[in-house]
Amino acid sequence: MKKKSLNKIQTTTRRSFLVNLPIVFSSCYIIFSEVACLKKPINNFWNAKDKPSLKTFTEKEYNLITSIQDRLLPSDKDFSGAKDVNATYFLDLILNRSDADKEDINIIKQGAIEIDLLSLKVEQIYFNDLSDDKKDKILKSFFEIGKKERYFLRVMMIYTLEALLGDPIYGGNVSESGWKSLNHQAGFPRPSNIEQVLPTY
Amino acid sequence: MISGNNIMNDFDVCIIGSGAGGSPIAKQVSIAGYSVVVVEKGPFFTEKDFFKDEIGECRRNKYTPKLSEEPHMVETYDDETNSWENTSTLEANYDFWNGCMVGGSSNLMSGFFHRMKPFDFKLKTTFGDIEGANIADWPISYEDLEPYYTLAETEVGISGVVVDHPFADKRSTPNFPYEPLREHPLSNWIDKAGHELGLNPFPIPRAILSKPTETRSSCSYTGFCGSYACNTKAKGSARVAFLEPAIKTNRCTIIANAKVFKIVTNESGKITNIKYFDNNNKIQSLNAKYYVVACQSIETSRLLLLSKGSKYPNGLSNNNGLVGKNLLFTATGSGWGDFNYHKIDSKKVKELSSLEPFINRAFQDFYVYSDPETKKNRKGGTIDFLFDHPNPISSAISTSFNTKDYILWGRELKNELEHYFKHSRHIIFEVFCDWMPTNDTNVSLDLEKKDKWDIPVAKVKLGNNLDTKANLHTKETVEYVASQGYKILEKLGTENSGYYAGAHPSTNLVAGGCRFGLDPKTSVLNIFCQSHEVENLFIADGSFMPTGGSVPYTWTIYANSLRIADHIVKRLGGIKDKK
Repeated sequence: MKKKSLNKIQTTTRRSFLVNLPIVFSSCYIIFSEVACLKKPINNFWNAKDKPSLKTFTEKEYNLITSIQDRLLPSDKDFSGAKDVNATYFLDLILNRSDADKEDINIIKQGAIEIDLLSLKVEQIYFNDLSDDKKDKILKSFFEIGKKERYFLRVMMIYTLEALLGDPIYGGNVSESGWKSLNHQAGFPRPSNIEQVLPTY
Repeated sequence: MISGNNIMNDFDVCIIGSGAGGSPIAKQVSIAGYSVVVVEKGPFFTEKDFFKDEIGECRRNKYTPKLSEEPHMVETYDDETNSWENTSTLEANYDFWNGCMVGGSSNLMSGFFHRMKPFDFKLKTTFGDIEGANIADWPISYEDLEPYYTLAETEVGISGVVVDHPFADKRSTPNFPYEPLREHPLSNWIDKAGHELGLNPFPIPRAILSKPTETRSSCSYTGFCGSYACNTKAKGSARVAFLEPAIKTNRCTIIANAKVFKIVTNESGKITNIKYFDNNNKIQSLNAKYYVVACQSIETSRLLLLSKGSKYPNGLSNNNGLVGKNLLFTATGSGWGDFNYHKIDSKKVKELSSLEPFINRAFQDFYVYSDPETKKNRKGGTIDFLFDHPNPISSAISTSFNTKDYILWGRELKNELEHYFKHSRHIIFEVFCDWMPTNDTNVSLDLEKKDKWDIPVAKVKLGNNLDTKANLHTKETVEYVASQGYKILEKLGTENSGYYAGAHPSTNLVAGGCRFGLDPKTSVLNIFCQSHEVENLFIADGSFMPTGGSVPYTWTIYANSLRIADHIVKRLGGIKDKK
């Protein structure tokens, strides 16, 4: 199978490529950190335990990805971040649809594992347990490893921005806070129930 | 709409494909009193199915099939290996599907409408040959098509105002039937900048109603036009403009979710029936006196090539080997520029912040220009100014990825997003130039790849990156016209401005493949877009074009389809019923 050129990646499509990743640590990767229970609005799903049944991720994957997305798009007072818009909840749902790019699931899961392994290697603790500053440094180091890692970050960013600025019907953009953060006027009519946005093909 | 085995046969006209090419014929023939069936591969969506849903409408396959199930193959030349490489569109990051639904991609168009110019019909005679390009004059003139451009203004609902400029269209009516749409204040800025440069900006005609009709509402100015379907019926899609009136005659049947895979001919070479997979994947058949194929160029050529018969061993109407040849795209370029709110006065910020969605300004001052080297007249192109696409997700992703550092994230990204969305406004321009038809850009059947119905898919060969004089000519032309657009941006005072003149194939503007002409040896169709070889076959999408002009194709396709409809009605015996 021919390796796809990364130069052909467009911003609006997500294409996978061969990931020759020897998951040598997989047999050891059995203990995940517990995410501290933070005070949050009742309709935010920062912690997998608070969320209705997961569709794509395990609880531990979910919590790890929440931490990653939080650093890709952190929260601010006047500008919603990934947590504020339930970006991981959105991701868990959107990747479960029949029109999802299923290769992205592998890319995201494996990339998240690699970030956690890097954190263990550099800081000797799991990514979720790091301070925000150290998480940012790990992500920067991850970015500098190579093309595969950078591609993972782009894939994550696409979904995070979809969560920020897509219709709340998909699970993100809670209370339209993403739109409000950027003064974006959405168009009408909006879908009013999930059945209206089910995949066609 | 009906499906299954309850289908009446012996229609007067069977139309395959319900977009801009097929639908005008459906209406005109059914209004004339004849029975029509329209067979459409995609679903029958209507206004209740359309939302301004950023994710579902634009970023998922709501209106186009999955490339894993219905791919095309793309053959491109690899400079590194010096060989042609054949890749599925799933991997090659192309998508030639533009809207598989009743009404086709016209449901999703932005509706920027331009007519071709009289000399576009005589490109070869007027501007001469280009080495390696198969330029051919049209066998009809602008004057033959003009009445139908005018008819389309009323039928489709084209709004605009006639403004004189050096390449203004010759018209048989003094003005458009619908006044121009409301405009953003930036339109006046562009007018001023253009005039200061000695240019002639004019309002772009739009296939969007500016006032309601009996059956359609006018524009609601959401600004979500391109890639979105219209909820008010203001957009002149083939479905609302032509199929809805056709259905009301009770003589037009629409069969949706029906994939036609073969056109069957008898030993004398006449089409006897078509075969298609219905909604339950069962094979059905139906017949008619005349058959019209209008599936957009790539799929039209594919269907003809699939429809071999005893008289057509190389595919329907392909005994001269010309089906699929001389495929056309539009040679496109683009430009962009920002207005930074922090650097302009509050009055201008207030104007820029207006939520009016439409700029609607074009320049055709460079439709013909003096070649800087030869000093001879050279065919140029059209420049359309508009706002960047309203989907915020695409803009946000571009903001994150459009950096030398590959990706921005974190607070750095958020700062850029805030600036993009809250403290600046962004305009773009699009350039349309002639695509040179060559032997290296064409459609054929792939020898191996099949779709989910186990039918060979189309292979699109793209020779636009070959080092040829024809390609160089195209790139030089786009570069020149785009650079003129850039000068307008400079005059406007935009920042972060740039332009791109790659002349890449525009997957949403495809034509050619079954060109019309007077000589059966060099063309597939006659002047009425009837096959030279197959008496009861017409092709009504953009396949007929030998060249496309330096404009988007849709108005020309609508007009030509109306012209073909007149001819088919005459062949059927003239108008029977005016109801």
